[in-house]
Amino acid sequence: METQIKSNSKKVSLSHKIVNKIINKDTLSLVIFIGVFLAVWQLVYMSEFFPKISLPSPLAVGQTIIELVLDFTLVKGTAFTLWRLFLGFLISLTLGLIIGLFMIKFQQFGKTMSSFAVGLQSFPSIAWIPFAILLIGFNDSGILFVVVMSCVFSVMLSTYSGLRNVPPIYIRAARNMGAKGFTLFRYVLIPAATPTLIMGMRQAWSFAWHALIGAEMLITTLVGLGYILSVGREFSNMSQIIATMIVIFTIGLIFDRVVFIKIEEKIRDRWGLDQQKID
Amino acid sequence: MMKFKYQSSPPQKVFLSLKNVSKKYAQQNSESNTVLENINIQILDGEIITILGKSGCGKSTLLNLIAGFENSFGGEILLNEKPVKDISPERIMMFQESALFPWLTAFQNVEFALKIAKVPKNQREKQAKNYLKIVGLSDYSNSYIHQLSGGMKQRVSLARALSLNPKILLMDEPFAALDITIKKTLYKELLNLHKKTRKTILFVTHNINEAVLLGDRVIVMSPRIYGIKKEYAIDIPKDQRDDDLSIKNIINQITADLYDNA
Repeated sequence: METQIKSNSKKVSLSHKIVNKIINKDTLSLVIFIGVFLAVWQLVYMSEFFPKISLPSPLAVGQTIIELVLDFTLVKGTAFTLWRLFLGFLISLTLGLIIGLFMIKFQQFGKTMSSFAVGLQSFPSIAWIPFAILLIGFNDSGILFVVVMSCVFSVMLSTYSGLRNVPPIYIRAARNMGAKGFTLFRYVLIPAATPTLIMGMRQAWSFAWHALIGAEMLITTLVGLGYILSVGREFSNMSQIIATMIVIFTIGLIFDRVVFIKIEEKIRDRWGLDQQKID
Repeated sequence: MMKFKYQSSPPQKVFLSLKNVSKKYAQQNSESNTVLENINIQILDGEIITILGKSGCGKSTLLNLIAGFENSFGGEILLNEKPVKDISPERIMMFQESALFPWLTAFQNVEFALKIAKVPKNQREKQAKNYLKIVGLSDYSNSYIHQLSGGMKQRVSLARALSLNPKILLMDEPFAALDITIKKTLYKELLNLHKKTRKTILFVTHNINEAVLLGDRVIVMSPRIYGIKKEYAIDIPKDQRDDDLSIKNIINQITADLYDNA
């Protein structure tokens, strides 16, 4: 009797697992969520609360997306935007890491720089744009400048605090084993600071993304997702605006969920940071 | 200054010798704070010395000085007649909390020590495996540190320490956070390892039973006098200490010593 119950429950859990694999619970709820969202949108559209020119139907926006993809406007825009994002992020990462290391090496500089950087980290990235236009001009370098200024401080601060907060016992143990200088830095300090560094990079990435779209809208360079948005506004083309917004949203989501969450999860899992202490 | 004297006539070569060691910490209000004063200890090759004392008696500070974590102190510390200076892998410290690296597996943690010591790759893999086997953790070599229990962590620490073949092993309350049954197994394992390797061990603890069970000699320290209150040589073989009556007497005596504040 008992064994029967056990085997039954085993079967149930097995089929459960299979169902789970095919329709992941998270995916399912995401699909439902999007469905409800589209339905509400359609209802608001049909109620004619907003004029149809101001709020097109989901279907019209879908058509616009397809059109903009087929005539390569969105493809080209996305490619350029991602290229700028990648370049800006890379520059910020390099600069932030180098300055962060200097802050560790020279303590007084680190102290001053960190309070300075905290202020600049919360500085609205869009407020850099007039400065960038006058200093550099309406070009790619101007956009990159705004992107770098918006996220380099996050990288800098996370490098600084990540390295500063490495538990002294790791350093002690490593030095006791004979590690010093570059070896200590490369094999102990850097890996020990990695969780903080990854968190800082994720924040920096999201700052860079915000800044980039803003800069593309205001520093006109005739290409990029932000530019497509501003063109949509000029021509009062709401379909194009919403279509571009959806692309921007999707890119943000993909990067955060696929790239950063995966890396962070891997590290958290390895370090056991999600485990509650039972013993 | 006190003249240095042998506590007992040395039958063997003195391996580690502390002569008039003192340590003061400069405090912010310019009043210096004495932690250790005139410590004299002679340790023979292959001995296990346990240092017993309540918190604040300076026993961990003493260990830190021997490890070379702090270089400013009075007196002399000689290892093999050479003054101890700076941190060195020949004096390996094992801490109360796990100082293992959470980003590495158990195996990689042991291998790390050998990598620092510039042991060639294939050789260090063999050695790391071997030391994990010695502490009975072969099956856990690919586990990350958080996946191990407290006792296992300290075994990996022990394997890591031994893999560097130190001249002396400094143990700073390594078992204090573990529960009693695990402690007892680890005592046995430590004593077995000691039998095989004859490593000199300096073991700091606040646990009287532990001190008496493991030590060839027990040194009792007191915060009142910033130093050594008394020293007990324990002649009973270590495998018989569990249920020996005279051990109980020694424990009682030491307890009295420890709590007598005069």
